[in-house]
Order: sequence, then C-alpha cells, then structure tokens
Amino acid sequence: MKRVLVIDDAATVRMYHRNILEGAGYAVEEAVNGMEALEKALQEPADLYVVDVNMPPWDGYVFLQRLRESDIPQGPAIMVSTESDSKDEARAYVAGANAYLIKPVKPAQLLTTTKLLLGESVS
Amino acid sequence: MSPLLAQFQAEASEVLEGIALKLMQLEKQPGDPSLMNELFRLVHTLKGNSGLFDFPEMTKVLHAAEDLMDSVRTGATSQSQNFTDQILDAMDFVGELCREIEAHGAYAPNHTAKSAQLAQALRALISTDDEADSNATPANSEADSLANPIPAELAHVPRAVLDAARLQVAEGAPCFWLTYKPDEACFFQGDDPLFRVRQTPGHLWGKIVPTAPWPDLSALDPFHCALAFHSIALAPLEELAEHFQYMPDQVEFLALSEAWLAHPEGQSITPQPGLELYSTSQVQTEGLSLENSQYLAQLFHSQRQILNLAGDADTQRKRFQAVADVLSKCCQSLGDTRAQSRVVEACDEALSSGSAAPLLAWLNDANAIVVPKAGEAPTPGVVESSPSETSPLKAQDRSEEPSIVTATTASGPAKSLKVDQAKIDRLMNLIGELVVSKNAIPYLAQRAENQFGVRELSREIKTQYSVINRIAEEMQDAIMQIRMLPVSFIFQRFPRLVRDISRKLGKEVSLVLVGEDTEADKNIIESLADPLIHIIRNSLDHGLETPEVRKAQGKAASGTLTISATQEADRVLIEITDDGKGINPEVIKRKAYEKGLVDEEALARLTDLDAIQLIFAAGFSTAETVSDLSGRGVGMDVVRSAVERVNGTIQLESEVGKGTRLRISLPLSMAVTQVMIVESDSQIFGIPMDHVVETVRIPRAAIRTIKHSPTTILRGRVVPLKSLNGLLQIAAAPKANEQDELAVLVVRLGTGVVGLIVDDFCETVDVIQKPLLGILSGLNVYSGSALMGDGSVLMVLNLKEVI
Repeated sequence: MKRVLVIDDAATVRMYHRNILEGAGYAVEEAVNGMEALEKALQEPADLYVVDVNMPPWDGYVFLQRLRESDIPQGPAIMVSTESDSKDEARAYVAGANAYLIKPVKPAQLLTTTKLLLGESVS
Repeated sequence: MSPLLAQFQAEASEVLEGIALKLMQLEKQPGDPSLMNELFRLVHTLKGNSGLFDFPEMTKVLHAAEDLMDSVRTGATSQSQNFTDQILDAMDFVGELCREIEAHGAYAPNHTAKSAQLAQALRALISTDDEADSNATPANSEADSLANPIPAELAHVPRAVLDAARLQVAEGAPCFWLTYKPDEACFFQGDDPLFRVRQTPGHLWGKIVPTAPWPDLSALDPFHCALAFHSIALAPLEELAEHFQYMPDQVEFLALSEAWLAHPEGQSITPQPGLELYSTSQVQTEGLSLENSQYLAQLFHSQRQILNLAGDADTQRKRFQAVADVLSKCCQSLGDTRAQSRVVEACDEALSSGSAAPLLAWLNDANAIVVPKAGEAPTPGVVESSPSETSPLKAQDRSEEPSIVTATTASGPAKSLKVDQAKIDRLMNLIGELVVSKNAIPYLAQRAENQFGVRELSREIKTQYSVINRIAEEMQDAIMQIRMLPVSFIFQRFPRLVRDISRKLGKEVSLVLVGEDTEADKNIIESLADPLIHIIRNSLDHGLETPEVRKAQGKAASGTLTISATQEADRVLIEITDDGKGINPEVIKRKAYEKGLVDEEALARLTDLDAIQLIFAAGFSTAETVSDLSGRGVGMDVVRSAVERVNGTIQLESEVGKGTRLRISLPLSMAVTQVMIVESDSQIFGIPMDHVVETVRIPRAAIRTIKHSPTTILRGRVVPLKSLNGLLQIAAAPKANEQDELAVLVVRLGTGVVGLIVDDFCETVDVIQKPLLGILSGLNVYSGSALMGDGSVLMVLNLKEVI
C-alpha cells in the first residue's frame, strides 16, 4: 500500500484529505507542520506528500526545501494552497513541489493527481 | 453528524477561542507583528476549513475578515478600535453558525443578509486603494478580444506554446489564429464544436471562453452553445478552411507572424477566463474522462512552469530529472509506454545539453487536452451565485447518505488532551519494565528465607510485594485504557470505500455499521484496517451480486454489508456479513485439489465448513479473473496472517445463495501476555495461556499408537500426542516422574486439541512479549521473547508454527 504524508496545521483539512486518500486505498499519515513532517519523512520516506503552505514553525516551502536537500528517496509532492497567484505557484515549484492545487481541492482532482504522480492507472 | 463535520466543529471552536484571545492581546500591544501573523493564520485556517463544506455565508464573512487582516498585517490599513469590534462581530456570527451546525448539522438559511452586511462592513475598513485596484479590470476585455488586429488573447498564451509556434514559423510553416464561434443551436445540428476544434489540422493550443457572462445557474440553458474557441494551428489556410467548410461564417482566421509570436504583448489586458486546450496526440489519453484529462493537463502545465524557472545548472538538472520522473509516471498511469520512453530520451537530451527545450518540446507535443488555467474559475459571477458548484463537499450530502446507518450519537467535543503517541508508548514500556522487575521481588523473598534464613523479612517483602503488585496492575490497566480506541477510528473510512467500490462495480450496496464505539488497543485496531479493507473489497467484488442477478433470484436489488463490532469477555469480535451469493464448498474443493493444496483422501473427508476455510490457505484464489479491486495478488491468507499476528483468529461461515459471514476475534490488548512456563530437556519455554486447555499427567501405559502416532484418550476424547523435544528437534527423550507418568500440556489449536509432552510444568507469569529482532527474526517457531524477573530470557513458542 502506498504511503501518503498529509501535512497541514488544520485538523479538518487533514481529515478531509485523509478521507479522500484512504477511500482510494492509500495509507495516510499526518503531520501538523513542516518540522514534524520532515522528522517523519526522514524516519520513513513517504511515497507522496500533500503539503499545505502556511503552518508555523516551518511552512510548506521550508519543508519541501529540506526534503529535497535530504538524501532520502524523493517522493513527489503536491502543494495545496489557497493562493492562486502565479508568484506563489512559482515559489512552490522553486521549493520543490511537483504539482500545485488550489484549496479547497476537489476529491477527484486530488486523487487523479496522486495517481498520476505515482504512475497508477486512472480511469 | 459526519466525523469530518465533527472535526470541523471541534477545530472551529478552538480557533474561535484563539482568535478572541489574540484580539484581546492585540488591543494591549497594537501592531505586534507576531500576534498579527498568528491572528491572520487562525482566520485563514478557519476560512480554509469552512471552504470544505457548503457554508457560503460563513466562508464569505471569513474571507472578508481574512482580507482585512491581511491588509492590516501588511500595513496597508491601520488597526483601529473599529477593526477589533468588526472582527469580533464577525467571529460571533461565525460562532453562532457553528452552534447551529452543532445542533442541527447545518445552519438555518436566513443568514444571507447578515453575512453580506458583515462582509461589507469588514471590507469597508480595508483601505480604498486596494479596492480601486480589484474593481478596475475585467469588464471591457470581452469586446476588445476579437476586434484588435493582434489577438489580445495571444499575450496570455503560455510562453512555451508561442516559442514552439515561433520556431515553426521561422522555418516557414504556416501558423494561424482561429476564432470559432459555433452557432448557438449547433448541438441540434449535430455539431460537436470541441471535437471539431481538437481535430483541427496542426492544432497546437486552444482556449474555450464564454461568449457572454454566465447567467444565473437556474437561467442557464445547457442546450444552447454559449462558447467560443480560440486556437493556434500550424497548417495552411486551405486545410483549415476545408476543416471548417460547413461553418465558414462562424470561423475567422488570422495569420500569425513571427514578430507577433515573439512579442504578443501588443496590449496588456486581463486574460479572459476560460479553459485551455493543448493538442496533437503524443500521449494516449483515450478512455480518460474529460475531468481527469483536465487534471492531467494541469499537471503538465505545472511541469512547463517548473521547466521555465531560472536557476544554476545543477538546480536545473535536478528539475529536469524531477519533471521527467513526473511525466514518466503520468505515461505509466495512462499505460503509454512509447510516450514514456520518449520522456526518457528527452530527459537524457535535456541533461546533456543543459537546456529544458527537449522536455518542453515533449510537453508541447503531448496531448494534454483541457486546462483550466490555475486560479481561473469560469467567471467570477458564477462563483458568487452558486458556491455549491465549487464546493467539493456538501455537508448535507454526507449526513443524508441514506444507505449508511451509523450508530454514533452527536455530542459536544469531549474535554480531551492531545498527547503524542510516542509519549504513551514510552510510558507503556516503562510500566512494562516495572511489571517485569516487580516479578523479581518474590525471588528476593525466597532467597531471604532459604539462603539467609530470615523468615520474618521474607514475609515483609511478600506483603510489600502484594502492594506493589496491585499498583502495577492498576497502572497497567490505566495505560491500557489510554491506548484504547473506538473501532469507529477505522470504521469511518468504510462508507466512502464501499460507495466508491460498489459504484465502480455497478452494484448496489447498503452498508450497516454496528457497535462503532467498541474499544480495543490502538495497535490492534490499526492492524485490523488493512485486512478489513481487503475483506470488504472481496465481499463487494466476489460476494455480492449485481442488481440484475439479485432480482432474478428474488432478493432485494440492493445488497447489504454489515460490519459489527462487539466485546466478548477480553476479546473483540468483528463480524463482516454479506447477503451475497455465498461460497460454494464444491468449487473450493475442486480448486484446492487442482492447486494441490489437498490430496484426494483429505478431500473426501472434508466437511463443507472445513472446505470453505481453505480460502485462507496460501496460494489460493478463487476469482476466475484477477480484478482491479480484490485481485491484487494478496489473498485471504494475507488477511489471516495479519489477524494471527496480533493473536486473533478468523473464521468463515457461508451458505450458498444466502451469504457469507467472517468472524474475526481479537484480544483487547496485546501488551501483556500470560504464559505458562514448561520445561523440556532442562530448558524453559513459554506457551501463551490462550492456547492452554489443561495440564495432565498420563501414565506411559495409557499412551497408544493409532495410525502410527502416539495418542491417548482423555475423558472419552482422542487426543493426539506430540513431544516438544521431537518438535524442536531436541535429541533427549521426554522425562517421566517416579510414577512413570508423562507431563502433557493440552493445547487448543484451531478447532482441535493436541497434547504436548514436556518434562515438567512450572508457574504461569505475565510477560511483555518483545518480537525477535535481527537474525533471530527468521525463527518463526517463536512468537517472541520475554524478560523474566530473575533477568533470564524466556522464549515464547508460536504453537501454530511448532506443531
């Protein structure tokens, strides 16, 4: 079972993402900020990361940078943000995101993007 | 109330309290940036959460509050007394809505006016400079877009597309800008405008735009085409004209020059909202839904942007590799190996040349079909008037799900403390060690008496021991309680899982969940998740029939899947029952025989009940075809071993035509195991008490040989005997006592019993079993090791493997 790490400071958003991903058979783990996420990732790298932007003490950008600098196996990362501004989007890519979705994310979009990034069949 | 809504509720009240607190602090320390940021973040979180549900009034107010906070935070607006009042008013309103949601699962529909008024009041505080900005643009873009000699839209075509077109034009290829406005009644004339555009010769890029602002959803006529298409096509005019020969008055062509493509910013206006099309067919996307192909295109769009980022050579190379990995995975998802190998080629080229061009070229060729540009909703007007369209999940949807019966009762969030699980685990380990080390005290008492001859002290030690023992047991009990989780922790995922799977299979299923508040240890609950998901998949895929078949057999069209949890003594029983077609023992027997799992002789003796248990055997799978859902190469044997790993048992009952029932029995907790210590060849071994039926001493004369194996008769029941020495390949013969009696430990195994001949029985102890690590982990005859009070190590036997 593929492991997805959902990183968001809002418990409701984490549960929302968890419900979507677990419904499709992924094993979901959670982290409430970038620091906790990095600790978890370093211990056991996930197959995919769903990353929020704004969450102290480390935001999603810092997490992605550190993750990409680390030498663990690199899973793809989806950055999830409320900002549709292209500057924010570019910043996500610079930090190391592979995809950028706008909140609230439609369940189908999160799932399809996840499957595409993991190379799993989409119907 | 759905768990997600309950979670929202709990978090919302926490956040609202936080906002009130921060506002008060901010009054005392006006302009404190860290307070400001924290306040902004709290409002932002709440807004984000409310966006997951269909609460437009709440989201609207929160959105306005967030904008105001942002403006104050960045210093564009000053923080006034009025600011605090307005935010507090807004939060009171949100709190009120939350209370209504808590009581009724949704709030009354009469808040729209209040919400609009509050939002307006909040926005009124934002400095007016901002407002002028945001209101300035969109209105006049429409009219300009078609009239101007340089198509205004050209400025908003992605750079990569323009570059690709320019290269072609530089080499002399014809390049045209198409504006196609299908007739309003085109759908009735058998036209498919989207299809026609996508089939345009040399189609490179396209965009769909509405011809007029969208009307209110209730006034929208879906049979009326209100769209126009812009495209860039690399083909000669004649070919294009021929393609659109039946609608010459609806299409305009404009040749694009190299200069225009290089500098499309003839005039800068806000891009018209719409959907973009990319074309030609490098990637096989047939069979992909329109929705999914949009998501795919959006992902491709992201990759383009990543490739267009600036950076040093090393960073760029990493990016090329990352993009290539993503593209390759996408091809894999779509099952297009040819496109995948071309990605690899493009990546190699990009890496060796240090330029993103080969990958960009791949992307330009790729058939990503429809892209909504990030952040562009169809028209702002539509978003405002029908927020439910954009809200991914309506609260009502979940609570009204008619086919799902849950037994949870709505209640306010209990007062609780969130603790990191690692801390609990640490506490549990410490208590475990305490339990083990307290076991050393009786040894001490014995030594005091036997070795030093102080009986008085020995007695005092024993009294003290009983006190410590009692406290340790209570502590153990308390920590177990903390680790207890309701099974709803995993059950709550099932409604969605069942819904998704049954839709995929075209079956109608109603899921009934019973006893969700039954509790068990966290580890047990967690170990249960995967097997249960697998069982549910199996039930839906192989057990339940399609509605047509069910009706033909006189059953209700909709099947029922019941998952129940109950506590029985110190075990949790989970039952998964379906009313599907059941399991045919004859089919199982035949399959098992074909696969060589049983021989002919055994086959004849098998009862129907035993026969169906064969589905748990390794290497057994009845499905004729391996389906996407349940046939993932894991059979029921994996389920069984997952259950047995936590000392659970699994049983199957089935009646052909009526349905199937799986019973999983699990211990409440797995932390402390009671084991009996037995001795064999002067070594001690532990045997879990769960398995022990009784201890008996049998005279050697009472042992008979039936069918070449030693057997005895115990209270009229035949009990096969096995020597532990023999099973563990210890050479020594079992020792008998003075009366020539052998110690026999009768153990339960599955449904039968076996007598285990050992040298002697010792006491039973509570131990904390630790799994074997490292090189020892391959020894599956032991389920683990435990530390004894005197410091020695006890190996605990895994009877299933031993016998």
